[in-house]
Amino acid sequence: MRDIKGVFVLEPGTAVDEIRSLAGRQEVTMPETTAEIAATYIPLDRGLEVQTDEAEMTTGATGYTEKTKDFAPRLTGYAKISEQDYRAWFGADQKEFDFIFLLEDGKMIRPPKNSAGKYVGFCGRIFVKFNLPITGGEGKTQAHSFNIMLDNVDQFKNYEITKSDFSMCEIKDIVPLGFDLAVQTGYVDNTATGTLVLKATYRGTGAPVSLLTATSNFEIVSAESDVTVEVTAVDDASASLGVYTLTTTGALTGDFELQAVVFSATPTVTHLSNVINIDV
Amino acid sequence: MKFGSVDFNEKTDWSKWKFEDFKKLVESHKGITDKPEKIAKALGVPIPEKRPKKDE
Repeated sequence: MRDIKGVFVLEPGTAVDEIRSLAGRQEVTMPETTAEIAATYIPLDRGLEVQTDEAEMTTGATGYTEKTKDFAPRLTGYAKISEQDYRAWFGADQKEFDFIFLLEDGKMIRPPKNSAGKYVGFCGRIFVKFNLPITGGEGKTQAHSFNIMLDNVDQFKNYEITKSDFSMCEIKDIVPLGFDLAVQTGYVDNTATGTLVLKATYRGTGAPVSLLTATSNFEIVSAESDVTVEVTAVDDASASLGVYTLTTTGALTGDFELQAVVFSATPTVTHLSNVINIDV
Repeated sequence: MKFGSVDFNEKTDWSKWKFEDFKKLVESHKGITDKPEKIAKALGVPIPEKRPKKDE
């Protein structure tokens, strides 16, 4: 069997009819709205270490030794992602997810179908390391570690291998591209409205993101005090610099959190920014 | 709905807006060449009727 090269991370309970095709994967990784995103992919190109505990062996009074317990598999995987992408996972620490492992040759290790005949993932949890960005050296290759612990050994014992129709190289196209969103000029309250200037850049190159031309490209994630906050207008006159002036609800009393998103014509989520807090 | 460089959110309930506030919003964006009245009409912002002058 070939090496594990990545893992699909699914919201717990995500069950789909089809996982072999790229389109089938895209239905959960880059659906029509951000609210519908139920899965993503972590590339483990930097390697992984299997850390499953040895089975428990017990020797009885008669001198007969037998295996009394198996432990569920766990691993530490090193992700080929940016520091900012890794930071986005901080909020997922200790959270429960379902997992499907992807091998180098495109095959998938998955649990048996569920009782409804749908494809699911192994239930388990994810742990991240809260660390400062590592500067240079060999340590950098192991900077973005994920501890993945499966919860059910019996589910794993019955695992199946499924051949996918897509190649490893196509995987990077089935998750939204991450980009950085930062506040350039903070929230200014004009009573009737609030204004805010944001700057969006690509993570790899720092080049400006010029795609956020409509109010639908900015989503309010949450708001303090449960007040209703709306992005009422977006000025993209400086889009070539990645700078956008937003007009929002005015006279706010609490902070709110914002995320930028880009849809393709379908619409399908193709780009997704970090979530930023707007101080009010 | 886009006017010049500014996209206005069509899901916003613009009918609750005061025209004066809306006018300030439009005039604060240099990238808009249309008159505030035209944009207000398109979005459903109530435009106050002009009273006829006394000598008319």
